[in-house]
Amino acid sequence: MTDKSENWQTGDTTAFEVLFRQYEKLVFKTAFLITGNRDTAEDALQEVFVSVWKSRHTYDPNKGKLTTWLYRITVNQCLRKKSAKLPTTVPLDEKRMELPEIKHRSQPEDVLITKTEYERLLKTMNTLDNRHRSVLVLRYFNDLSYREIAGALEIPLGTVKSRLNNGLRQLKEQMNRGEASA
Amino acid sequence: MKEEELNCRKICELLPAYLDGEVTHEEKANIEAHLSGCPECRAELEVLSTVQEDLRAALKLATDGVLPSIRTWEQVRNRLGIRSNSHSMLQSLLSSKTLWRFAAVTFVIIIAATVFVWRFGRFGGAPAEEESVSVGEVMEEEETSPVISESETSSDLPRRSGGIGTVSRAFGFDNLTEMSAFSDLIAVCVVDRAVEVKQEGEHVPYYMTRWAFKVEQILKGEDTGEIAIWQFGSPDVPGSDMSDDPLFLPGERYLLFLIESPAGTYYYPGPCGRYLIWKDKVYSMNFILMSGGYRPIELNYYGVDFDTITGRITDIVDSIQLIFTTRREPRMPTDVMRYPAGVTLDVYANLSTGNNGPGNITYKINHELLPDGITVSIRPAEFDAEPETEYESTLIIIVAQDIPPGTYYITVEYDFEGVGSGSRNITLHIESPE
Repeated sequence: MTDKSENWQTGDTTAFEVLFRQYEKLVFKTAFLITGNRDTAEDALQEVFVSVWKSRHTYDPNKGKLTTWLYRITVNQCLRKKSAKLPTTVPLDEKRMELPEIKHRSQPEDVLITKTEYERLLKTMNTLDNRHRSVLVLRYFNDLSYREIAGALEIPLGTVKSRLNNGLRQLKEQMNRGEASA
Repeated sequence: MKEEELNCRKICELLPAYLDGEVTHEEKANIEAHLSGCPECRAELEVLSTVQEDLRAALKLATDGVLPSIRTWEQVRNRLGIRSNSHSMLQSLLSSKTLWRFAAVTFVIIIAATVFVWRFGRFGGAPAEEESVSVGEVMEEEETSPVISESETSSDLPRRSGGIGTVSRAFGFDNLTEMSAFSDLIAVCVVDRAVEVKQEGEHVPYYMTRWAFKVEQILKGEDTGEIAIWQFGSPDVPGSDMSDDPLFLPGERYLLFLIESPAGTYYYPGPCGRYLIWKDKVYSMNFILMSGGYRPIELNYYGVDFDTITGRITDIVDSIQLIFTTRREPRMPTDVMRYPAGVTLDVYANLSTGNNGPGNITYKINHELLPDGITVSIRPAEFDAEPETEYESTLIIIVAQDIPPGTYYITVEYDFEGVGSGSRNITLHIESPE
């Protein structure tokens, strides 16, 4: 699998399809969370892999992980799409976002987050600017380390820290405000 | 004091990184030393920790089961001019042997206007499992030989389990008039994409597939733009109920008859609510088994001209229709009934106003034409009717014990003020009392 996956760089289209299948969900879900829109995420997914194929010679496995490279392309595509298609602050489009319901679990104590909190958090996420949102998604959805995020976004480590700090605090404040008004 | 505040601020800025394990040893020691003596910063740490955990959970939940279109690879390939070198998932599905195997399965179909069903608050705090039950309809498919032989089928028509030739015992309407008049939404639409959704069941997770349709044409009802059909199982997850038995395939065109219940959520009335449109012809997706045998009912289309069907639907939707039904399942046709003497029957008179009205509707039963021994009353016999609405009245038919066996006719006349009048008959075959 690994050998086959690497062949995509030499122009092996079967290996490229394997690569696509391996990472399509990851790229799509990341794009979906950053853009908050399924159609835009769908477009971004296409663009990412078109871009991966076209620039396949530029990726150097010795310089970084493939996923870091993919995240960089994904975030760039999302920021481009978001700025091209949407105004700077976009309320969460529930029709598009199609948030799944929180399931009732057999043990109430297992419930980590209530439906209202979940809804409010995602809405608040969408009020953040793209740069903060991207960093939060890469950290808390994709589980990237700060260094990996810095590598993927080509920003200094300190910037990653401050964006995460600011992002979390904004979420916290919005959540508090929501609770107070509820 | 000021220095302390400054220190607190510095520590607080480091707390997210501390929680993420992204601080140096020195920073960690400083933070922990500060926290041990500062309840405010400990409280802040707790809050931030909760926000982080909630965010992780929310992001995961928001993407659970959200999958890209199964056509994306094909689109990428086309854009790059890469020739197909392997079976796509769709091709694999089509060539799957198990796909064509008629298995005894029970499944639930939920059809919902996407806009409504997946939104928060629509169902209040009801658990998802209850939602499924409230909007679903159970259909059973049986292991049965196809009723149409291979020679009768068009060679290029897509076939699959659940499609042409499969039998369902599920309840259905009897004819196009009934189904059109009493559907809330009739739409021509194209299967846009399938999305796998993983649900946390009580004991084990289960999978559902959400078929998203782009609406091309609305023949009746409000344009929702997109319609979603839910099916148990996932084509991607082997063994997840309907894993090898997709109801639809992306790119296919369908004529769907949908009934709304509850508001904003639709289901289709058994097997006859789903028609494949293939090269401008309309095909039933199931043959309907009722009362222990096949009925050559009007709804079993096999290659009927699309324009003809939609033209008829439009005519029906525009006109007044009076239909008699019972409420039993399977629903039996009640224009013609056979009962022993001494029976009391409740029959539902359903009137669909089409594009007519508003106005007052009055029912009239010509008692002079009724034989001795049969009495008929209707409630309500008079009401104000709006366009595009269905009204139900109840006919109570009492048949005396001593009426001679034979065939009797009951005529229900309606007068729609300012629109027109009409009538419909019930044929009642009375047999000897049991």
